[in-house]
Amino acid sequence: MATLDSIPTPSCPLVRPTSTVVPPTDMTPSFLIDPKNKSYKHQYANIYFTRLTMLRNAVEKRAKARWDGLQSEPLYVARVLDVVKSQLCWVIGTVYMDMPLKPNVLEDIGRDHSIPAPPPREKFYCDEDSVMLEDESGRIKLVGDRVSKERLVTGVIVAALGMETPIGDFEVVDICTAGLAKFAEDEILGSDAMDVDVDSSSTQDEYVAVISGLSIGSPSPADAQIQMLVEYLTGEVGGPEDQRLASQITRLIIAGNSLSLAEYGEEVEDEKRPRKFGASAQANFSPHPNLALSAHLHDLTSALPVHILPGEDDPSGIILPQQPFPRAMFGKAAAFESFYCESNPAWLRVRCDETESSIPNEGRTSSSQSNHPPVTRSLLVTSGQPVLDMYKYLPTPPSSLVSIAASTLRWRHVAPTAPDTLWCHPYRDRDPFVLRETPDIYLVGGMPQFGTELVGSEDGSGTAGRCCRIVLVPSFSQTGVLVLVNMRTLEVQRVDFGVEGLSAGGGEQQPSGDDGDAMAKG
Amino acid sequence: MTSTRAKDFLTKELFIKKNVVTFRSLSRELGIHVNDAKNELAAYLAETANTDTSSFATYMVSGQIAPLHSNGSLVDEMDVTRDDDDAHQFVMHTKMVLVDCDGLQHAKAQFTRIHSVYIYSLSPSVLRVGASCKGGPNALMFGQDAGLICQPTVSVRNTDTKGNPALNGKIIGEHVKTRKGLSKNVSASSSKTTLDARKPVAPQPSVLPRKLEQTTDKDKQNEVSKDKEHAKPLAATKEQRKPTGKLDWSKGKSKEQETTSGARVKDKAKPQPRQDTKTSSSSAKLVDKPSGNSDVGLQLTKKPISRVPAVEPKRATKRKSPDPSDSDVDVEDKPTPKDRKAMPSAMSNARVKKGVVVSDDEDEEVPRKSHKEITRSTSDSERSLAAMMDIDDDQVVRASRLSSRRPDDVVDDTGDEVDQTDVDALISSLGEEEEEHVKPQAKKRKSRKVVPVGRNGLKKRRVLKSCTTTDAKGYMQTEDYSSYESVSEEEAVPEGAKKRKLRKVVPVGRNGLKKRHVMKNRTITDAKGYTHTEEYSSYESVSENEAVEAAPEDAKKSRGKKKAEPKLKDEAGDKPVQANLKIKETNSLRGTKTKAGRPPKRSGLLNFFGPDKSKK
Repeated sequence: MATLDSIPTPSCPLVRPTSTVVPPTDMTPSFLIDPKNKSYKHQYANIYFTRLTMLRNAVEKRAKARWDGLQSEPLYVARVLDVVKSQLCWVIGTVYMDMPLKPNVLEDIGRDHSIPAPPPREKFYCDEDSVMLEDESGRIKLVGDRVSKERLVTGVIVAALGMETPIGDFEVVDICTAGLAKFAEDEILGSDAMDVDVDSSSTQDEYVAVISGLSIGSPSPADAQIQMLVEYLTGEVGGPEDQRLASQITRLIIAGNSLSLAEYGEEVEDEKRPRKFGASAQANFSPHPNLALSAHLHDLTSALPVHILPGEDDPSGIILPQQPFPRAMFGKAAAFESFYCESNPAWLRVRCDETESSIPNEGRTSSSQSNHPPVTRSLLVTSGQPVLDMYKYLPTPPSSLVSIAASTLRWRHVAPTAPDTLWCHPYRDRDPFVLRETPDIYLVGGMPQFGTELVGSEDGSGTAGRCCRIVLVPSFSQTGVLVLVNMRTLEVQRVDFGVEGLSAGGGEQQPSGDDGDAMAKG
Repeated sequence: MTSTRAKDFLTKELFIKKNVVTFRSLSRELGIHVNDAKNELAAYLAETANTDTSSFATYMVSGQIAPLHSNGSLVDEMDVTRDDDDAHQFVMHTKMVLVDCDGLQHAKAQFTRIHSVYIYSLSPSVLRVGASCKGGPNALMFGQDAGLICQPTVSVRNTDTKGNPALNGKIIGEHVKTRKGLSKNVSASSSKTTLDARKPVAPQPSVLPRKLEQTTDKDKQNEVSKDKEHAKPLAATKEQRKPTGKLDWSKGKSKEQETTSGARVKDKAKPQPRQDTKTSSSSAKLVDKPSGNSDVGLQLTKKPISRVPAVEPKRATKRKSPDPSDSDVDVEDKPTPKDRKAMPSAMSNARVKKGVVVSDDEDEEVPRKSHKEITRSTSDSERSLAAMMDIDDDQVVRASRLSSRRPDDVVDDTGDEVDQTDVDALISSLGEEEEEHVKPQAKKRKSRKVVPVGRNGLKKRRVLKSCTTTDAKGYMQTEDYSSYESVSEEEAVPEGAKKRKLRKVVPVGRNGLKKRHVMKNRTITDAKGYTHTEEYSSYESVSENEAVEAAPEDAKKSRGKKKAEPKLKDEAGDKPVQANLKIKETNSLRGTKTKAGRPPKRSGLLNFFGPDKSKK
């Protein structure tokens, strides 16, 4: 029998720092599809066209800066098909990956239906893949080592420097992407973003908690972990230290997959259902998991603001951007003003105001001598489908989920594969997935493992030192991981919830090592 | 030391109710802070450890695990991209572990620094939380056991909703707000709440007023459009004179005219004086009537408007027809009165039926239900229609195709002359002409269609066609339209016969026997990969000997018909009957044909009110 230290009751009750959701800027695209624009009659070509127009200038500017100094004076060719033979030139276009293993709707149609469909592939890539660059005029095949090293996916806008070969391919010397867009929020003045000394500086810092994949209703429930999670977030569990950290969590973001796809006896049904092109199995759910989720959400929302995003497994449309859950789904939790249903990729602007600033939008007063000036952070949250889709395009020893997520920032596009292999709304005159601004925090839910990285711009122009924090949030039901992101320093903490003493159990222990390797080899 | 209250509660829960007690449920029960509750649990366990009423504890260990930068994929990543800064990789790794007493020491070992160890819950028997991981991959059982700690949550929730969970240590952010919870702002002291308060307020005004605007706009639009609708039909009904179903025919022209609103105004203006003159010309009896009715009429018009709004625009376009009619007044005189007379008499009950009758002979999709009614109603309606047939036969023949509008114009103008002759008809027709009795008219117009009559005195048949065009963008467009085609006499015969049955055109096979209707299945695979089974029916020709058994009842019923049909076929040159549609009829043929066709027609005559009757 272990003797236990008694846990002191805090002398003064812990106070949760507040933060507010700031209305988005004009530059921030909305992922909401209002009924007016809810039309599926448009062709997807429009998206590619808009994307190219939106990103062409950025790519062109950066490519010019990059290749201007070259002695050979490369020629800029406006149209892909106008490349001059045996002369160094560069073109801008949309990458199209011609992959034999990519799901093809025609194959799907022509398939013999008496034979069950093969399971969806984990990866599309193979040796016969070819990379094309296309614009309105046409398509040209990109060849060369540089192309394969760049690890491109369909839909990315790039500039390619090279020369047309006699057989009509384009031998690429260098590739230039759009690079990081300017940051959405102004730089924080007076705060050392790279402060390593966590314990001293973070005692008052606000955190945002992120989870993904509660998977309530799955056959092997993580009820105990979820219970602990809720108690942790409400600040009841653990010792004073834990409670202090928990009290600093100013809001919670649930990045998708709150409900489980798996249902009782659904496997049998699943076998019968023909797999459709690129679609994961449809959500099949009973109201019961939803009640459980609502109850948890109610516990949470009564303690801190909660943002919930639909995810791949959730009862929401499969087409991106997934639209917010109807509030009424969540029973009592919906009664809270501070409960937000977000669209699946979602931009959030959160301001943490430690000081008492009376000016609404000019919170960042540099005159403030406070240790904690108000800070506004922009967050981009997705439930992970775009990254998981791009993951299929790329061999993963060189690439990883984190690097893919980082690439999307450099490509300035959250979901480049969207109309190709990722289902997306047929936008006519805009592409909301284009990043006109770089978020401070980029949260990707629904990942198999935890991962994080700071991404800064390479060519230190203006935004030197500014970094975007990428966090891959693993499925809670699989890993029990809650991620805390410091809103001021962008430093990340990870809190695991487990229900056992040994490391042999259901993946709670050191998931990063084993899983990471597994993923890498996959 | 455990308080007596806690002890009592724990004993009761654990050993009487056999429940799991977590620190949360204890804190809620006793109204103490969760940390106190944790201590209470520990104290209780220590006290009862050596008694026979011992309980089992589940521990919660929290602490730090070695930071991530030494292992995991994170470092791989950093190696690839940049590994200059330690801060990037430093991820503080906290862990909370729920473990039973056996695994406690082991659990503690994994932490580099332990924040706390405390009793999470007490239970009457061991929660095999850690057992399964030792025992192997029995994850399911383990999960179920661990799920038992959730059991007290229900009561916790209940207490939380009633009481103030903040007292129990729940850290509630000030920025948590209920939806209507403005009252909370009052109690909140700091200025942040004002900031918070702004947030919900800010978006809402932007959204709500817009919505309101939209709705009000919509309302306005609705009102406007309603007003328009009101205005239009009012104007229309006033000037409108004859509610025939000839919309199709006048439409083409009226559209052109409609483009200018001025024209419309003119139209409105024109009929008005005409009415005046008409009323003045009519008998004195009637003079007071229109004046009185004018008010009534206005009121009445509103009813049909609300009921049949879809028809209203048509009515407006319709009014063009009277104008040209002024010019060509003198086409005919007598027969219409009869028609007029018949109409009102039938109007009371046979209106709908008439509509069916009219539509009946333009295509075969008459609901079977109406069939009986038709036979009943034909007695009076047929008379009127037959009369109409007469007119057309005599006079309108040459004009039937050229200007389809003419017949109704004609009727209009003759209506004037009727006034003097027949009082009953006069009243009703006046009602029609001056548009006082709008209500019945609206009905009538809808139902009654005038079918042009071909050269041979047979009503033309409405034929559905489709034409495919390629538009400017290169898309194929298929347009369905219907037009009238004259019916050959010989066709009329089988039609009559047909109608008696199911009104199907049964093609006749090469051997002169009716083709047989065969249901077939066809399975196709669509674009999505689903297979569809489609049922369709087609005609198959029947071999001679088959036919004998197939159609004995046919033979019994109408022997004559059977004889007739082979003949038909001969003339048609081996084509199925449908192909005969376009074959013009010769007179010589007609004689034989009608004779041959008579027997089967007898019963069908009720439906088919062709010229045969009048000619008899």
